[in-house]
Amino acid sequence: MDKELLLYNYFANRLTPEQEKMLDQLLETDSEFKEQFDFENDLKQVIRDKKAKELKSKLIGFEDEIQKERPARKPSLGYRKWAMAASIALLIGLGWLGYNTFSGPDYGGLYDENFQEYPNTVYAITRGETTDDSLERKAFLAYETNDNVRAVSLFTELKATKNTETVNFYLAQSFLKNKQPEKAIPLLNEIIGKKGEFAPQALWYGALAYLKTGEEDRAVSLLGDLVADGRYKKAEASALLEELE
Amino acid sequence: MQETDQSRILEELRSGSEKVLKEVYEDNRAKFLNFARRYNLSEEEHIDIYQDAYIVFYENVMNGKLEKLTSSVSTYLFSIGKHLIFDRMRKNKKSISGSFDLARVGDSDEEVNSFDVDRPELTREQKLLQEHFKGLGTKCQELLSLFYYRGYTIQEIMKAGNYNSENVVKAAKSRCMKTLKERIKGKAY
Repeated sequence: MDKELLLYNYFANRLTPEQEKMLDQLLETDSEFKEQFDFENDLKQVIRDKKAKELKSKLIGFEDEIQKERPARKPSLGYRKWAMAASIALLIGLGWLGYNTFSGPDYGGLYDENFQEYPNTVYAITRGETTDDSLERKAFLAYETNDNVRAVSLFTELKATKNTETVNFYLAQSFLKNKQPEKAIPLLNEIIGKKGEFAPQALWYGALAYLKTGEEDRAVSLLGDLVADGRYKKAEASALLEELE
Repeated sequence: MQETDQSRILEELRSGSEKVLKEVYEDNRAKFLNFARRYNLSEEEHIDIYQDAYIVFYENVMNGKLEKLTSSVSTYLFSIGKHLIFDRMRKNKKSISGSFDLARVGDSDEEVNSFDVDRPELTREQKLLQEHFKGLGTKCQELLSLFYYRGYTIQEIMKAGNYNSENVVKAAKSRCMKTLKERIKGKAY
């Protein structure tokens, strides 16, 4: 086959698998051909780069317009004064109410303030042309779409055949999202005990789970370990410790 | 979204509609930023990544790799965005702390995997080539862009550029390439 046609088909995205093989072979054996290929490929990258930069500057323009349309509103001073007065009154009222209602710290509130699900960072899910019908995919799909009951059941099923740290961690996450912290605790403790890759994350979520179940001492102990470890949520853990102490 | 709407979006983007370009950007922005917030990057980075994901999406619409949408535009943007977010996290060495097997990301996504998501910095040679490319006449730049960026065939270029015959296109293309090469040779790398 004509070398020129081969290059032409390559850049028009219409190489057959056979031609692809031929192209690879020529690239290895024919230096003149390789030089021409590199030149055209460089040209392609150059044009891509130029187009991308042009589009980027357009998008930055769109973004500026969006930001201008929604300026941060600054209320007038008069309004602010009233708002401040009202907030103070509200705070006093709530404080009094809180003082009278709760005898101890509001663990549930601290949990809600601090709990944020851990993102799925291990399994990419897309709804394109995928043929992957694995249990793992289904489990992570349920997790990402907040179908928590289903996520718990799928990760539990997965754990039966694939009892890995990752599966245990996301099963624990699913329990937390499903408001079953007591079920998450043993799984997280296991991860912490094995000092695995998710150990720092497990310390954080373990502490939160203990808060939710009202076991402050245990929460404090895990938070202390997390601050000492220093790899994950150190600042948040210190702040939470201060609040508890 | 209706299928007709979807194919209309692709068609209008391909024909260069600025209006649709902006509409699609605005329509998917909030959804994407919401999705990206889960990953604890700064809001500025989220916007930057949204724009980069949009650029990859656009490029693949234009070069014909994305011929037909099998899911909504936002699904494509999320999927591309995820690649970009992980890249960014790896670069920032975020608290994910290398403890995740990031290499597995994207396993299940064949369609987006066929996209060129990375846009590496140009090499010195490529920068020089870019200078000379910009120095070409607009007709040459247009023709070469149709071929190398859009992946058009000679016949498609003939129709798009109002050329009289395929041979005229071929001759024009060789002339443009020759000019480019000569100008580069005039200045060594």
